[in-house]
Amino acid sequence: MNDLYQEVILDHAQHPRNFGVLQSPTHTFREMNASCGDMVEFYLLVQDNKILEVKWRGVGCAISTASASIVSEMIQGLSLEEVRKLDAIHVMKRMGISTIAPTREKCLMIPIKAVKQLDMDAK
Amino acid sequence: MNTQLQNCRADFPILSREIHDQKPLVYLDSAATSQKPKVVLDAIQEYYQLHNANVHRGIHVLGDESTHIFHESRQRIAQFFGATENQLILTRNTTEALNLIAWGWALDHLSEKDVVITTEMEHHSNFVPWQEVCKRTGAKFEVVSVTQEGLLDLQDLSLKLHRKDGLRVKLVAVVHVSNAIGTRNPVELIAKMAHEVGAMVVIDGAQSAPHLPISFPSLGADVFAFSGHKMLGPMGIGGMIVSQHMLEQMNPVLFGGGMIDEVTTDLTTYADLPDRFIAGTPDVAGAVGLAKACAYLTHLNMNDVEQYDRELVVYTLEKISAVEHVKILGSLDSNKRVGSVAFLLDGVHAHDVAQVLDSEGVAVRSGHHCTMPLHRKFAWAASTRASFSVYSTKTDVDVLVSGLEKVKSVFNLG
Ligand SMILES: Cc1ncc(COP(=O)(O)O)c(C=O)c1O
Repeated sequence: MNDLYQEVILDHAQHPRNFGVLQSPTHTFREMNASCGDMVEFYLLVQDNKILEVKWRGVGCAISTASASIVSEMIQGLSLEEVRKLDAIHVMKRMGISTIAPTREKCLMIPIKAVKQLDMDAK
Repeated sequence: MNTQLQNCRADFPILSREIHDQKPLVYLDSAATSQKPKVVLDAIQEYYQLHNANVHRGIHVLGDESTHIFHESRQRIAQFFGATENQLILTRNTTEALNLIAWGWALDHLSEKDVVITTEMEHHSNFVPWQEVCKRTGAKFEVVSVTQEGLLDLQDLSLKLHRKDGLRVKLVAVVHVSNAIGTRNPVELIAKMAHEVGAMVVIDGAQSAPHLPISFPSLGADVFAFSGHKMLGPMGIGGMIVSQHMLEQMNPVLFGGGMIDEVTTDLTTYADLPDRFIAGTPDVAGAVGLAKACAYLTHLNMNDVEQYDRELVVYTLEKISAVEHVKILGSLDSNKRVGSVAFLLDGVHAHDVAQVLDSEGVAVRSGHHCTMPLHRKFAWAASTRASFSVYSTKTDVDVLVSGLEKVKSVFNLG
């Protein structure tokens, strides 16, 4: 059945949180999945090693949209070290799912990869 | 429809599979790859069980049998396209065939004074090789527009052929049937237009070979490329029919055993056409399987296969356009389409459509179907495609349509 389309996922997909752009972000990260036409862009305001504000926008399927929305909530207020620890398991837990089909893994990962650029950026 | 065609579903063992708690498999992704009839699977197995040996080498019974079987298979495949064995170059698939033309011909025949023309509706396999060879040779890469209806803009083609900039058009590469929007292009006319200015004509037949009777001489093209796995044959074998004119101008891309005439430490001469394009041990079992697929299709009768495909396309266009929130991509005129129907569902991403359909047992393709330029032009992020083969039925389409209602209810679309 449609185990994938849990209420949480549908809710975030249809009412994405923190959707929009920041006026003057300190960081802008873009991540694409060319093979399905998905794209997300994250705008972060980082000060003193802390994420103060997050906005994002993009186009994608329900999974990538929900993932971006959830990630945008999760990273608010986090430090760089904490963002570094963020992974798919955390996001899936928030979504209420325990596994994801290999064909949909990329959808889940796009927003995570986007904000992880912050990590690489700092190195 | 003849009775063989009507009853052919039973010839495909995989179609009796059930998935997701005993839902019958509704396979509507035949444009990606078709399923294979049992006769094809058996032929491959029989080759390996009874005749396996390398070709053109061992002087022994199996070697002779294998060589004989390989040639016979090649003849059958060529014949299926109205051609002869010496016009056939076997490859792994359409992509490899097109690349052999790009690197075995275009690379040595293009310069800054030349133009290669392709179109906005090409599969990446008939787009990127030409883009790349133009980059390396300095030739100009031109892309013919697609109209709002989803047809090739022949006026634009004409303008690009009859140039005012002094450049010479050397090659026109065009898809016979679009894998994304199903458009059937008038390739005979296009070949004529291109030959008038002295250009070579390459046809990507990956999606026409499974559905239309093909007569290479009547197409009037220089190359017709196809993939075995999309026309009931196994994966890993495909090829192209090549005109003598093109064959004589081509250079080998792969060198080594099988393609040589004489090798000395100073100089190597190459085998006759087209053997010099087959380096190394060929996929004999693949050729056997593809030849059997050709025989099977011929037995079904390609005219009837074409007719039946049109029936399915007409039915699908009618049923799907009646679903609210659905927009069909490409022409609504079924006479201009072959093999598939792609669509958008308002507010639901194609991946989500496909995922929910899958839970109903329906396999479709979602994404850009390797046609990013076309999707970008029309600003489609991704689309969902139902595609057919000889074993597809109107019942499959009905299950798809009720699946779409399910998708709408999951995503709260009225
Ligand atoms: C129109 C068209 N051209 C080329 C190809 C490439 O075929 P293959 O992957 O077998 O090389 C495809 C396959 O999807 C196709 O539909």
